[in-house]
Amino acid sequence: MSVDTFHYDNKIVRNFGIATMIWGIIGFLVGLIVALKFIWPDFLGFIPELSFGRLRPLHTNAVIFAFAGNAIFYGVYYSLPRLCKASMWSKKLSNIHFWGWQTIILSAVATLPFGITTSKEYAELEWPIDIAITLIWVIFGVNMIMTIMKRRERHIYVAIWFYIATFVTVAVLHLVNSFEIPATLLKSYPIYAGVQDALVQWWYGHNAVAFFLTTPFLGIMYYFIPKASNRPIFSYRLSIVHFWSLIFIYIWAGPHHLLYTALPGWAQTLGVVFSLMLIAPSWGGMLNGLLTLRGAWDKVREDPVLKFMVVAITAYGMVTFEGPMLSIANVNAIAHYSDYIIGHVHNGALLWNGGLTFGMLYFITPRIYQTKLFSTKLANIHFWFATMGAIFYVIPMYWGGITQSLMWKDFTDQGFLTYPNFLETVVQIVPMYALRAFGGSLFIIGALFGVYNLFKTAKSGSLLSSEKVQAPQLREHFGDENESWHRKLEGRPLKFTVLTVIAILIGGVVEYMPTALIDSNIPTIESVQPYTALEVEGRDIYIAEGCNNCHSQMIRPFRSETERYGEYSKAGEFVYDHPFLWGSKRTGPDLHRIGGKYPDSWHLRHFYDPNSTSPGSIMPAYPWLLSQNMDMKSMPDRIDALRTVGVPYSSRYPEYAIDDMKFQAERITQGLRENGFDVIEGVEITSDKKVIALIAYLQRLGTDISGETDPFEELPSSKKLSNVILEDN
Amino acid sequence: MYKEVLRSMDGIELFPSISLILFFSFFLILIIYLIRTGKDFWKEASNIPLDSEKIFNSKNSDQ
Repeated sequence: MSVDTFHYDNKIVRNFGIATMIWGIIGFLVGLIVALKFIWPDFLGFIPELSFGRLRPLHTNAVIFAFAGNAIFYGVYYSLPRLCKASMWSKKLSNIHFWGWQTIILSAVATLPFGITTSKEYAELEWPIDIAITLIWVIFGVNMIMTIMKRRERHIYVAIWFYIATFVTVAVLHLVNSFEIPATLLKSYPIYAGVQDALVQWWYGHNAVAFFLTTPFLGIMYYFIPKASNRPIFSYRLSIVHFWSLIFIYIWAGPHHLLYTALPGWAQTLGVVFSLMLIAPSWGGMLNGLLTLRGAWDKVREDPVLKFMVVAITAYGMVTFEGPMLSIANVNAIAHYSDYIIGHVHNGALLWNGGLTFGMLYFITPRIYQTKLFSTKLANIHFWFATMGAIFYVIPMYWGGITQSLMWKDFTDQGFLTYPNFLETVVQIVPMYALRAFGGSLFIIGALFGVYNLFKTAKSGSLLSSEKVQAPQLREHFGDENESWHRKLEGRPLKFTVLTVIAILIGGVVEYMPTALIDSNIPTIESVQPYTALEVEGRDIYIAEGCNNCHSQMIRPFRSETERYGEYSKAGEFVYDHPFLWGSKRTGPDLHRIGGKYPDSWHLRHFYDPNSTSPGSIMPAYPWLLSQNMDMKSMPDRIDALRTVGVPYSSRYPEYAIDDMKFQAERITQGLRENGFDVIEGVEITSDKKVIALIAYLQRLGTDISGETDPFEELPSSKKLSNVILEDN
Repeated sequence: MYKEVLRSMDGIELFPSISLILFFSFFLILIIYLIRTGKDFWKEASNIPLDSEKIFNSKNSDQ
């Protein structure tokens, strides 16, 4: 028998570990900054790059892709070679993967605060970065699959199946959700519009949670729980059922993010049914993890690694119970758009992802540095800070979310809204926002203790950068004919991968394709027209400023909403919305019927100082909108890109786009001047400023349905072209 | 609107049925198979993470 000698690359593991910690702290701190803005809206105010709408996507991207992302790779690069008894296939690819991923994160830092965003949640990065993500992800996948192909262990352990599912599904999700047409170097429009865009986005958004924050971490659980407790997983058979049922069911559940919206009812129902079914595999996996520790609970009392992991799995159990419950329509009616959801995701992010990550860091660091953990006591303190921090974060959010939501829905005996002023419901829960920031701070302090502890651990040992191991070669003929089918499958990584792809595609094909691809599924409304050039610019500013992070544009068909906001939203109203801007959270009121509700001057004053029109408002001021110029030059290119994605502007409209913009902007500015708003606190209002475009967009929102006005009437283009829309000559 | 969408799709009524049949048959077969193979059959596989420090892999250890 020939025995091979080879090496595990611990250096790449260490690099991903350091990246996890650094980006983790940065991501948490950005989270704290945005949390403080709920209490002091002008904290770090008046700096566009640090405004809430721009920093919130930076926070989510940093914690998901930078912190959790690097943690996934940290776990994979440690466990995969050990489970395969092989070194990673290519050290070069490992390194390209590492540096490529960090570059992508840096490019997120260099774009999101500058308003370069697609607005689609957890997919905000613009098209050049999307391409880079694709390339780096493929490099990771190739390196992983080839390592599995070259393994010296015949059986592919369950953790690896979860890694494979992560790789293929994230690839499919990222590709399908990123179909966009570039308008400029850093601006693109998705090929989908309105309802279709919403469906694809939440198919992506939901499954990003599933296949970026769940499956890879389940793989990590299946490796590190047995390692840390030194006993095999409770039931391997359960893990097989867990794997297939989880990946099969998860992919269908996305529409639960769109209940009561303009999404077709059958898609909503399917989403709910599969979300409820999801509780079975999720809890199967959770119990499998927890029961592995039966008879080893004494270790849990002493070992910080196991402590973090046990709390992680428990939190996973809570969150995966809560998820299906939140997808039941009438529960969703209360929780959606509220802070409850923020509590729900942080329960998962802080304890499940955070807990497993820190457990892993405490497990791996002493091993690769050939030493002992610097201080177990400090790690235990970290554990309590993390757990208490999460509790102080999550409970106020639950409390505040439900309180506010019930206030939105409350009617007096006479049948009027008890709190017609949205602001009253915000002011009510500000103390909860303060408690949340306190909880978040505790969590960060704990994480800092952790980083210090791990740094001291590393200092006290020396990195075993290349760990020498021996294992026999895998026999050539391992195809034992009598072997049972699932066993055979586990020996064949490529077939396994193909089956995984099929399992996740079924949900996509049956549920998403019909709505995503067939336009006739969206009933059209005759009077709905594309945006004018100035409104397109306003909409792009709305996206750049991240207004959709706090304002929805989707009025659900409830009396409490139609009373407050107006007619409920129809699918046909969004056919020209590339991207859709329905939002997922109402920190401020819904804006779908804001058009015509207030005069232009109200909006102008409100942007300059929200408290001047709405005393007590926690919306930050946007003074820069009054001083920064709008972008007219690239408008023809943007109109061209919008034509490519299917907005039926005339082929000659780009020629007149700038004239239209100037004309419409001048008309609005003239109106403001006539009402005495030519100067606001020394700032002169001119027609080339961003605020004018944004006002034009807001005043257009939700007005088409009445069919009273033609948005292109009197604009220069309508005089030159017999029909701005659909005239192709 | 709900009914309008349903009407506009050919064969929509089959969609839930197809998924239901697919789902149940696959998992039924999987569960029967797992029950039939028994717990001991999977012992080796479940020990892989714990054996990773040993120089032998699970299949070659008997050689």
